[in-house]
Amino acid sequence: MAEPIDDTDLVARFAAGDEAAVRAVYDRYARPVFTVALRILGDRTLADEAVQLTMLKAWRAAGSFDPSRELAPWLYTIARRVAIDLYRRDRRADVPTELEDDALAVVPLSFERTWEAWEVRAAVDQLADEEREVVRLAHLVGLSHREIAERLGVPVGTVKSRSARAHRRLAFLLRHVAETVE
Amino acid sequence: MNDDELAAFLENGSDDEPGGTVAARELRDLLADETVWDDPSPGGADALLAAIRAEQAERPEQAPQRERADQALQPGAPSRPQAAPTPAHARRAHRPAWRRPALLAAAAVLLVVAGLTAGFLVGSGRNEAGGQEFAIAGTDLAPAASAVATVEDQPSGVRIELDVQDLGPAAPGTYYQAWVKGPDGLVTIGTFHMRGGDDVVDLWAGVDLERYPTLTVTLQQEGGGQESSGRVVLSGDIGSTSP
Repeated sequence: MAEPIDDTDLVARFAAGDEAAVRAVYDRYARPVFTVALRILGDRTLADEAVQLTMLKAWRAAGSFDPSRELAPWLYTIARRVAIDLYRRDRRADVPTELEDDALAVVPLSFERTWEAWEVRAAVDQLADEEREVVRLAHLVGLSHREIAERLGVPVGTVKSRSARAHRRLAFLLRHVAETVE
Repeated sequence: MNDDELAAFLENGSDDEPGGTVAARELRDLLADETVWDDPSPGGADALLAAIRAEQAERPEQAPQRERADQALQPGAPSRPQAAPTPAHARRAHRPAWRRPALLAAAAVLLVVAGLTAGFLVGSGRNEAGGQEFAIAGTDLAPAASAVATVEDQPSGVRIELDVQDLGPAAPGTYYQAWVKGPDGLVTIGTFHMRGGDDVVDLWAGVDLERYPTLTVTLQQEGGGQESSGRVVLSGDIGSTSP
């Protein structure tokens, strides 16, 4: 597992274009950015574009980033704005000229809960690989512990322990989100 | 709800279970949402590094600011600083983002004047051969790039001549891919690399451009699959039939 990197130092090196820092920022945040963009845009191709534009804009603006702030909310703000711009651009391209109007570029339902989605994605990414796979199969695919055990070729008890450990970790990482929503 | 209760609900709770709070239910819903599990296409970090290197190469004396790159992203390119740009790029002056609208406006005026002088309208009209011309703009990933697409119906399909300017060469292992898209989906119309400098690229579409009115060019990674990478470097409307 990679050593934790202090955000202040990371942003400074990211702003300077240091390769390790750029890769660290990308590896840590590209997936949450992608999740937010995909929820807003509903299109993988556009979401990929949003990830690239978000990271590039972040790098351009990193020199003015306030190191006392957290990096994740700052990146989230850029990502959301980029995705909204792409959404409006894409909508304008699809709408017949005579109907084209900014009023049509309304915020879709998928814009809701994008921050919560970012946080859930970031939390899921912090799980160990084997724990994340159990959580994915349980929640996304809808498999039971027994079915997961068969799929992965491991004892049911192993699946149960991985699942319990993963969900305890998720609860720890996401409790602040739950408190905010309530 | 403490950590243990939240963990238990996330793992085993159901939506109609009375113990679950609204927040916990929302978190459970998100865990079952595919957007939380889907990943961006591979090669993104390399593409980002290449774009950063391109901007740094143009402004070696400056810290990274809001200036734009003249080169497209190059996924798969070496992550060390890029070699010196080609002579064509070296000659090209950097254009700050704020100048682009003014430059585009000036270019449009020049095109109209030149078109009227030559007896045909350029920009969104028909040329002497009967082809219809459309301006294609570089995106934020290649803000200095531009193109003029000349669209002409032929017996075998729709011929699209793309006169490309200031789009950097695709790095080894990458290539450009042109697409037309609309409500019915996305159709590829050809690939190219621009390693010889500015050029006119011949593309062919077998679909009705009224239904696929937007032309885009993406930067693709060899071996990266047949889907669009989403790294759009050029984009414009070519579906209008009005002169």
